[in-house]
Formats: sequence, structure tokens, C-alpha cells
Amino acid sequence: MSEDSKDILLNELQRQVEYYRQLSDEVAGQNIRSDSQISLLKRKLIQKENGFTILSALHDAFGHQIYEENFFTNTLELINTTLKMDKTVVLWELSSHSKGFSPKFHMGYEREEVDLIHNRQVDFLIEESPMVRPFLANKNTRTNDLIDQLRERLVLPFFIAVPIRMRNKIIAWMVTGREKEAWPFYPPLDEGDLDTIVSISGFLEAGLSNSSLYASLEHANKELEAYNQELEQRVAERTKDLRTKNLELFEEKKRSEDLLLNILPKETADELKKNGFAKAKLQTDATVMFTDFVNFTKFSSQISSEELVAELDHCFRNFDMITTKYGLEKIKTIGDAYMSACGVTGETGSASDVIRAGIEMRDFIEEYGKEKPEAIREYFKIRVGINTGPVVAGVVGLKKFSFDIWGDTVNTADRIQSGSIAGKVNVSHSTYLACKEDFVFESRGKISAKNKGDILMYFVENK
Amino acid sequence: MTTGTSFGVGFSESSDSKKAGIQASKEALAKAELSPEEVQLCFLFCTSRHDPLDFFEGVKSCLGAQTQFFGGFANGTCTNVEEGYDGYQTVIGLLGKSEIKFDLLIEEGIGFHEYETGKALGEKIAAKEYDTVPQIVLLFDAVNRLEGRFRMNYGTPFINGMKESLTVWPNIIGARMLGDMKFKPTRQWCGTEMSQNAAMALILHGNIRIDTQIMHGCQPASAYHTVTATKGASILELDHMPALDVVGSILGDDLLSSPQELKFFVTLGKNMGDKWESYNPGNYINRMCVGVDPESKGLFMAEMDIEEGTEVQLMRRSFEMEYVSKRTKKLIDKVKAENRKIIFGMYINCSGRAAAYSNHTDEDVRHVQEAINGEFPLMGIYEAGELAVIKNELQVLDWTGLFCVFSEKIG
Repeated sequence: MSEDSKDILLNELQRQVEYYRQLSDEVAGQNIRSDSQISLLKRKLIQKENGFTILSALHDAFGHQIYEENFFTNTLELINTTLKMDKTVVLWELSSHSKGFSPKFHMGYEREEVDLIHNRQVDFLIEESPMVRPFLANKNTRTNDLIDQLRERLVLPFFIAVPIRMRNKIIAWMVTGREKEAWPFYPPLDEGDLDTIVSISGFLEAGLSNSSLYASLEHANKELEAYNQELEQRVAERTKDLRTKNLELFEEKKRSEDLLLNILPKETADELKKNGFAKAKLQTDATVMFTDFVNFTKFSSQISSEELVAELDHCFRNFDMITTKYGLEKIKTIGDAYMSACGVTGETGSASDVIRAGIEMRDFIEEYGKEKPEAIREYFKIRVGINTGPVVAGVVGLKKFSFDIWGDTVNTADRIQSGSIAGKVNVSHSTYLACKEDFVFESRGKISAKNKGDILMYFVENK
Repeated sequence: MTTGTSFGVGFSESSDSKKAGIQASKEALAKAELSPEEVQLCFLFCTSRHDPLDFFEGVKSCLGAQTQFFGGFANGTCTNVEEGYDGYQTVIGLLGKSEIKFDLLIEEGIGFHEYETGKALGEKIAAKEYDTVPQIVLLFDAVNRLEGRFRMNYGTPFINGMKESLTVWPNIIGARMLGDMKFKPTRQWCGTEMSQNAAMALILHGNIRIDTQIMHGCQPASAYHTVTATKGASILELDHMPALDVVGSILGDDLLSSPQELKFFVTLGKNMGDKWESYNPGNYINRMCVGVDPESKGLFMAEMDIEEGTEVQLMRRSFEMEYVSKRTKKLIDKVKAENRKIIFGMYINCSGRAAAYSNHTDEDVRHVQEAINGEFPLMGIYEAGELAVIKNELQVLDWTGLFCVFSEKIG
């Protein structure tokens, strides 16, 4: 190869090297720029993806009751960490100043900065008109008073600000942003970021409504609960009153019934209550008993009337207990006489029980007499007379109802009593026949009885 | 001889810093099956969203008084199953019941004094005596805001300073720490104290070895261009033309109207191997452009190790996820084949590799987790520069995933 040819070849090779070198650089430039653009697109895509992650997380929160503070704090943290923001703050409308807003929730501020922004107030005004639209401030944004104010008061140079509305009224502003905008790690905030934050603010509005609704519901529930409690208390008080009244009524009724039963036999009282009257009825198997104190007239002259009545009361109270014990009906007292009977209310009477009652009454009086001074001890003796036979029993008249028995059996029983002697229980022949197996009888033979002629009488004692 | 070392990792994303510390520590204790009194060393990392005092208090409340701490801020964290960044991530790794010996060294004041700090820390490391070749975890603060404005703490002078004190590089892995991509000031924990603006070293010795696998995230895209003028970490000229113009002509002149968009976007690669050889990730050191000076038309690089005469290529951020998985498995198999028990794995990842900051739809961490498959605990952090030894020299790497395996010899 000639020298000229070699020079031409060398020159050609040098041109080739230069050509490929330039081509290599061009391709390198294109590749690197493409990488950069792809990187930018991917970053925007990732930022959008991150935005959707936040929206999805917020959406999940709607399944439960939302508590304002937790909801905002969590959202702010999500914005900072997911969208790579440095600081996010929510400024709440001041109640005392309709156009002023002050930080309520914040995330990403250092301790000293928190103190710095704490009481700062921002008027969201543009040329004295309230700002109502979201806006962004990156390093390319033409600044204005509001942007300057926010940058200075929130210590945040690059940001997006979005209003938060409740019932069409702006109640707060959320401001989120970065301390630095530096390619490629922190590209300037753009319209895409603004859209993402606006979407998040929509969820914040929904969250606030949810929180407010739940709060109202909770409030209503509490009121209802308080009302229920009050009602329950009132019902309980009323029930207690009613119970007391019922008890009083019951006791009153019981007292009345007891009183009635004290006056009337149960069957007669029931009939009287049911019909308003009780017919006198014939009772064929009655046993009537009379007791009478011996020398009562003489005794009554030796003590005062009050003492006498007190003594009678004591004795008759005990007689009442004895008649109750043996199922006898107390008919009445006549002066110092005590009249009782059995078999006068339709039930078959037990003459034996009348005798037992009579003996116990006599024994009681004798025992009681032993407690008395010697001088008056003799007056504490009774005569007892018992007779068995038919009587008519019932209530007569319209007022002051009193159960009574009538008939010859009654008169005879009184005569038998008169025919008795102190400390003895004297029974008629009919009573003797009814009870002769149960007691020891001492036949007295026929004894004269006033207006009755001679009547067979028996002293009786327990076996 | 097996030492029976226990290791457990806990994770939390709670926004309550103290609670996050408690949650992650309790989880780590449970997984390591250690009582608080048995914990010898606690690795702890959290993002800058956390209150560092509260977080530290939460962690300390769960552990015994004997526990030593080592860690700091991270832009994100991961475990065998969790991963996240730029949020409230925290990770705790607890080591106990171990015969491994360790020393904790710290040197504060790295801001503007990277070289001096490196030298002083190197001297401290050299002054100690070790049973075996020391295995070092090195962490240093990436953020210098001592004058308000952000300035990166450079690794190159720091490493050069250390080199002055160390005759031979021990086995070192590590990270340049940041807590977010906004470069807020960071915090470090060493021993029982919290610090900042510091560099620190955990020196492990005894029955312990750290093995590493470097996984790059870039591949060359352009022709070679020669660096013809530099100033500190700034490349002023490429091919005798303003660096910004050269890069602009390649990427598109429209970028020149908004040159700041080039930062964290342009990465330059330095091929340490044969220039015309097929791409070999192990031969490349990648450097990210972290700022642009429109006046000088220079590019501020993350490190100041690109000197005049160096040939560089524009790198394209791209890596195969399958490659991450394969390389991770390869290292695990290698360590196991040497009759060693893996105590835990540590993944130090460049924050820029996270899907949200790169053009990936997938996280490379997932592929590391998948390769480990729960075989041993994984503790991972996203930082701003990975430290590893390449060709017997400690290097700061950009856009790299550094998988490390801590193992002990069996029998």
C-alpha cells in the first residue's frame, strides 16, 4: 500500500472513530435522557399509585366509627410517608374569627417548629376575598401574599393547600409539602400531586361527616340512655310507691278483714261482703257456752270502774285466745259474762272443744286469782255453763253488724251457767251425751232452772 | 470453634420515635433470643424524620447497661422481609453471647476537616492491638451544614488521611451517612453517646470475618472523555471544553437552560481496568454529580478523586435485578464453602438506587432478601456512599449496593 493510500485509510479511520465517538455520545445522551424521562414518568406513576394506596386506606376506615383526631393524625402520617412529603398541617377555622385558620393537626414538624407554628393564624384571603380553591406553590409558582404568608407561618416553602368543607362551608385547610424541591429526588410538586391531595381531602370531608354523624348518634344515644335511666328511675320510684301503697292497702284490708272476722265468723263475713247482708240460719248442732264471774257486783263495788274494766279486759283477752285455740266463735260479752259457741257457722261443732275451752278458762281465772291479794282473790272464780242444741245464727239489722245466736239452746246454756257453782264447768244432758266418752262427768241430777223447770246437769272435768 | 454468637434484627416504621426504638429493639431481642443483659453490641439506624434523642432513649430502655451502640442516620432500612426509605424506618441489630472482641472508636469534627479526621481515626485504629486481622465497619457523617448551606463531607481526603496512619488497609466496609435526600444534619451513636459531625469505626477481631460483594448500578454509555481541568471536587473541563457544555452537548442543549437538573442525574464512571475490555463492573468507580456551577460551567462531583488526565464515561443507571440476586448468592455460597457460619448479613445500599429515585420498578433489596431466603438475619441501610476495598485500596463508591457477610469459623 502506498503512503498516500495509507494516509487516506488513516484519515478515513480517524473520521470513522470520530463518527462513532459522536454517535456513541448521541446514543448515550438519548439513552440517558430516555432513562430520565422514563424515571420521571415512573415516579409520577408511583406517586399516583401511592395516592391510591392512601385513598384505599382511607376508604377502609369508613367501615368503622371515625374519631376525628385519630383519623387526621393517621392521614397526615400516610401523606408524609407515602407521598414523600416533609410536613402536613391542618388549619382549622377559628370560631372567633370567621376568616382565620390556625393549626390543629400537624405531622413532620420538629419540636421547635411545633412551638413556632402553634398559635399562628392564616387568613386565606386573596386580595381581601376568601380563597376557595385548592392551589399549589412550587418553586416556579408566581408568589402572592397568601403563599408568602403560608411559607413563613408554616415553615414550608413548597406546598399544596386544599380546603376541607362541611355542608358547603370551608371549615379547614390542609397544607402539605416539602422543604426542598431538587431534581431528581424531590421534583417540584405538580398538578398531578394537587389532584391526589384534592382526592384525599374529599375523603377527609367524608371522614369528618362520618365522625360528626357518629358523634350525633352517640350524643343521641347518650341522651336516650339518660332519658331511659330517668324513666326507669321514675318507674322504679312509682313502683316503690305503689308497692308501699299496696302494702298499706293490703295491711289496711287485712286489718279490716281481721276486724270483721273478729266481729263475725268468716262465712258470715264473706256472705256479708259478697251480698251486703247475711241471712240468719238455723244451725242444728251448736254448743253454746256462758261464763260468769261469781259475786261480780260485789267485786265491782270494791274497785274503780277503770280497774274493773282493765281486769275484765285482761281476762277476756285470754278467753279470746282460748276460744281461738279451740276454734270457737266468740259471740259477745255481756257485762262480766262471756258467750261463745261452736257449730254456729255451718261447720259441725265439737262440743268437746267447748268443754276443753271452758275448763281452760276456769283454770286460767283460778291461776290468775292466785296472783291477786288475798282480799280479792275470792272474786276470781267463774261459773261455766254449756249446752248443745239447735240455734239460729246470723246478723240482723242494717248498722253496727253483730253476729248473734238465738234460740232455746242459748237460753238454756245461760241457765246451765246460772246453775253451776264457782270453779265448775256445768253442762246440760245434751252436751253430756255428745261428749260422755271424752271427759269425766259428775251427774248432778235434775236442778231447777229459771223458767225451764228441772234440768239434768253435769259437772265435767278432764279425764 | 463455634462461638455461638446470637444476632437478631428488628424493624419499625412507627412515627413515634421512642416507640419505634422500643418496637425494633424488642423484635431484635426476640429474634436473637437474647435477654437485655446479654446484648453486647447494638447496631441502630433511623431516618432523619425521627427525633434522635427519643429514638435512642427508646432503644436504650430495652437493653442492659453493658450494651455498646454503633450506628446513625440512614435514608432507609431493611431486614429479611421489610424495606423502606424516606419515611419513619428504623432498624436494630443486636449481637450477644459472642466471643468476638470489638472496639469502638470515634473522631468528631469531620466537617471541612475530612483529611485530619481520617488521619486521627486511622491513628486510633493503628494504636490498638488485635488478635487477628481487624474487620472494620466505618461510618462517617455525609452532611456538613456547619455554615448552614449543605456541603458533602468528602471520602477521598478522609481516606487519604486514614492512609497516612495505616500502613496496610485492613478489611473495611462502611458508609457515608445521611438521613434523607434533603441532607438534613445527621446524628451518630458510638459507645453510649450520641454525636454528630463525626467519623467512627467498629473494629471486630477474633473469630470474625467480613466478606463483601460490590454490585454496581451503572454501566458505561458514552465514549471516553478526558478530564482536563479540576478544582477540588469540581470538574471544570472535559476535552479542554467547559464540562457543562460537553455534558450538555451529549444530553441535550436544552438542559443548559436549567443546569441544576443535571445534579444527581449525571454520573461519571472511571474505568480502573483495560479501557477497551468488555464492561466489568468490578473495574469501575462511579461518581455522581451533586451540583452544578453555571458560572464556572463546572460539575461538582460527590468525591474529589477525579483528577486531571482521568478518562471518564457518562454512565447509564441500569442494572439487572437478576444480577443482584446472583451476586448475593455467590457470596453466600463462597462463605459457606469455607466452613463458616454466617452470623448476619449487612446491605449498604446507595439511596439513589431505591426505585423511587431511579428508573426501576423493583427494589434491588428485594432480590438480596430473596437470595438470603431467611437463612441468616439481614440488616440493611440506605446511605450516601458505600465504602469497600477495591484493588487493595479503600474506596468511596457511588450508586452501589454493598452486600457484606459477617461470619465465624465453625469447628
